[in-house]
Amino acid sequence: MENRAPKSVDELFHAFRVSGAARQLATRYSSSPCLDANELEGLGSGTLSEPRARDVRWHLIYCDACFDRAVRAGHVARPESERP
Amino acid sequence: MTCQHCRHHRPTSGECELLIEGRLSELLENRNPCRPVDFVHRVAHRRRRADGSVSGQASDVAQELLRQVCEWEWSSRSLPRDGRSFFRYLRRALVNGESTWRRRWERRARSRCGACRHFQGHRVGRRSGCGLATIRAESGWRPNPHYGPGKISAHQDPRKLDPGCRAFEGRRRPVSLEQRRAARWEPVAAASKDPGEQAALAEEVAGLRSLMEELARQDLRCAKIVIQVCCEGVGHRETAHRLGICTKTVARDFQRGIEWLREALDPKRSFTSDAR
Repeated sequence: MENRAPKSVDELFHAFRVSGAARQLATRYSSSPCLDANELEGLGSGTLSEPRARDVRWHLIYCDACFDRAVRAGHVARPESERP
Repeated sequence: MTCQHCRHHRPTSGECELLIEGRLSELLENRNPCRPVDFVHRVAHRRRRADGSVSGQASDVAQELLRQVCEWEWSSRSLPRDGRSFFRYLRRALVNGESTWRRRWERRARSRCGACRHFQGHRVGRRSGCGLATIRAESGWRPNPHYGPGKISAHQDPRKLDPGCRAFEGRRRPVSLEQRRAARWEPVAAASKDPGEQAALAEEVAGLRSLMEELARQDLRCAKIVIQVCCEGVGHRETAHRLGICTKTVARDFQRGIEWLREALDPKRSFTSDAR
């Protein structure tokens, strides 16, 4: 693929909002059913298939309750900069 | 204002029963000795004498501001509980709100960007500047040329910018989180109808989505913060409250996520092919 001049992050997020993709993602993944313990554990251990893991990650981005559960259960890794 | 002679005054704590129990309508009925509505008109009259530019409307504006301030502050439960602090607070809110109203309708000779609610002051790792990404033009929405850190100063007159800014709004104006989110979603109507531009836009959006998935794979919390701040319009403080972490951590993670995205958009790499 040819190298095209990339836009800045602000312009890309502007395009992301203008195109309606941000709203579509938010609508789709915030209204999807919340995750059960097996799916959270599968995400932490890496046993989920890649498409399903991607869906789970997007759901965790938009659902605060599931994200909180995943953090408490330790399935969401802390950033390396914050590890002791 | 004679709280000591009022039947709603609690002598032990010095607090007002009406303020504690949230009986705002009784407080504004003007039957009590404090008479807050009369107080509002007194403040408006003094302001009118001090500056005659809004002579005919000062009382109306003050009355409307009183209603807005009470409705807004009452819901957030941040009003003072004793009478003296309440009236001091009310006077400050009225004077600030009236100044904002006059700046907004250009009744005041000079306004400055630092008083605008779109202006972002010094934050962790960022310089100050205008935070309004898109502005409304005659042909629709377009990117704000003054958006970004370091482009304008707090003392800049928004009308003397090139091009002039007409989106000035005083910072004291009560704006709820829902209104801010709605403002973020509004530019959806600006999507172009041209098929070529739509295809280019779809490609850029797909590239950004791939990058966000890659970022979420590496650091989920960072991706969550970037999406909340950049797409949903949630502030750092609100994001920190939601995630149960410190505001500085949010600012640091947001900065790291944005830096990661900038690196991924480096001209030496093709982000559409590299992210996949």
